Amino acid sequence: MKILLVHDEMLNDTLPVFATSADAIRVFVLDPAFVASEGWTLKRIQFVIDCVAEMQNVRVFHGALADVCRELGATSLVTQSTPNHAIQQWLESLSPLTISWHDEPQFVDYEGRLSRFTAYWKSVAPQWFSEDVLIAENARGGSKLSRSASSVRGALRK
Amino acid sequence: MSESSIREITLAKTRAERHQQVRDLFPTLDGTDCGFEGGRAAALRALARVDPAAYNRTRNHLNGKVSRLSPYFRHGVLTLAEAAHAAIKRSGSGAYKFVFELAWRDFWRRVWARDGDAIEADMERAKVRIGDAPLPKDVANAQTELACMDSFVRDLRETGYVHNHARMWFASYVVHHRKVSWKAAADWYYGELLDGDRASNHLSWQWVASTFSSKPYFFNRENLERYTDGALCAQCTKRNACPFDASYPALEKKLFGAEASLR
Ligand SMILES: Cc1cc2nc3c(=O)[nH]c(=O)nc-3n(C[C@H](O)[C@H](O)[C@H](O)COP(=O)(O)OP(=O)(O)OC[C@H]3O[C@@H](n4cnc5c(N)ncnc54)[C@H](O)[C@@H]3O)c2cc1C
Repeated sequence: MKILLVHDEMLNDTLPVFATSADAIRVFVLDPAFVASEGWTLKRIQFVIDCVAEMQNVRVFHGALADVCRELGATSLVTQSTPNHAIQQWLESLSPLTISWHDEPQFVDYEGRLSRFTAYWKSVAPQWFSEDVLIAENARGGSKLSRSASSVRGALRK
Repeated sequence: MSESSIREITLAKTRAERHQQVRDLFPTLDGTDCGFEGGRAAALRALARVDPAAYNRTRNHLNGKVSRLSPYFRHGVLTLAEAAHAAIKRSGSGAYKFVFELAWRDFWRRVWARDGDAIEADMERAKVRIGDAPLPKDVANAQTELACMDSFVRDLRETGYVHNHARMWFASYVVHHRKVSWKAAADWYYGELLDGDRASNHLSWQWVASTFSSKPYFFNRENLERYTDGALCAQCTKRNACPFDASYPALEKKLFGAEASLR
């Protein structure tokens, strides 16, 4: 039995992982231990549940994730990748179940350094805007691209 | 935990009934409805309301035309790329500022993917002296008597949403005026936000603190009044003893002392 685990960063069934795992049972788990460790408020759980309610064919469980997987006879599990260690650790409780992580949609392609936002933006902005637009933006209102990230936002205080 | 403690739930059709289901499942949690409607349909409606040109002009203002899309991005209900495409389709180059802001979320997330839990500790040495005090009760309970800060905390606790500029002012007040540990404040803030996200939250707190930026972020009363139309200051009982009512050099000296000049 293959499970598509719907975690809290993928509450949208138009995401690519849903199309590639059409044969899997879609499961969302409200695991009290996970909810407590994340410190979610009632309003956040309500928001999340409203999102889940609108998704197609998602079975919703309340209980420990490992118990839900065992109850469903899960033999493999697929979900969407995330840098969120809380989610990664939560899934570690399922060992030795095989877990496949499906890439999340990307905003831009970028492999460069991540020391300051400005350098990142300078490199990725051409994926969204033509050179003309970038030159005009650079010239307008004090060259956004050449300022440091902090002075872009720090400028708010001037 | 035994298998019998698992329950499959059939979610109710109406929002009010679903919220009651959630209350029954988590009886120890309390709180009100946040007012944000969850789900893809609501996210697409909110995206359709984004006016990139107005966003460009007014986003720093507390009443400005910001998108309020962050809870949807945080939960994957909407992707950053979808929002960027929609804004550019609507406004062409006029969407520049909106897409630029979306990129901040992507940037923080990439740092998180690279550094993992390390983002929960100082990324760099602080450029000024910062404190390590725990979060004071008067701050968390909206009882500082500063109308601005108390109203930002009420927004946070009642709706889970706070405008970006208000987040910056608040974080600056907590970290630099009250010398609270940015991490203690960020952990608390994270739990209260509907869009609570370790990367955008913890790294923004570090940006304000100067442990992931080249200088600390601070503001003065003139700045806050300008972007709030003076409404909060007008009702503030401490308006004649406002800790933000000073020039930037004077504030810098007061907050960071002699060290300020070392930067
Ligand atoms: C102390 C502090 C804590 C924060 N905590 C969070 C958090 O937990 N989760 C979160 O999503 N954002 C956080 N932010 C960033 C920002 O404040 C919110 O993303 C923004 O206010 C959300 O409102 P909006 O959707 O109306 O934004 P808009 O102004 O309409 O911007 C559109 C989108 O761009 C992105 N964005 C805009 N500004 C920023 C920014 N400075 N950093 C990262 N992304 C940005 C968001 O995804 C936002 O939804 C924090 C900022 C500060 C200063």
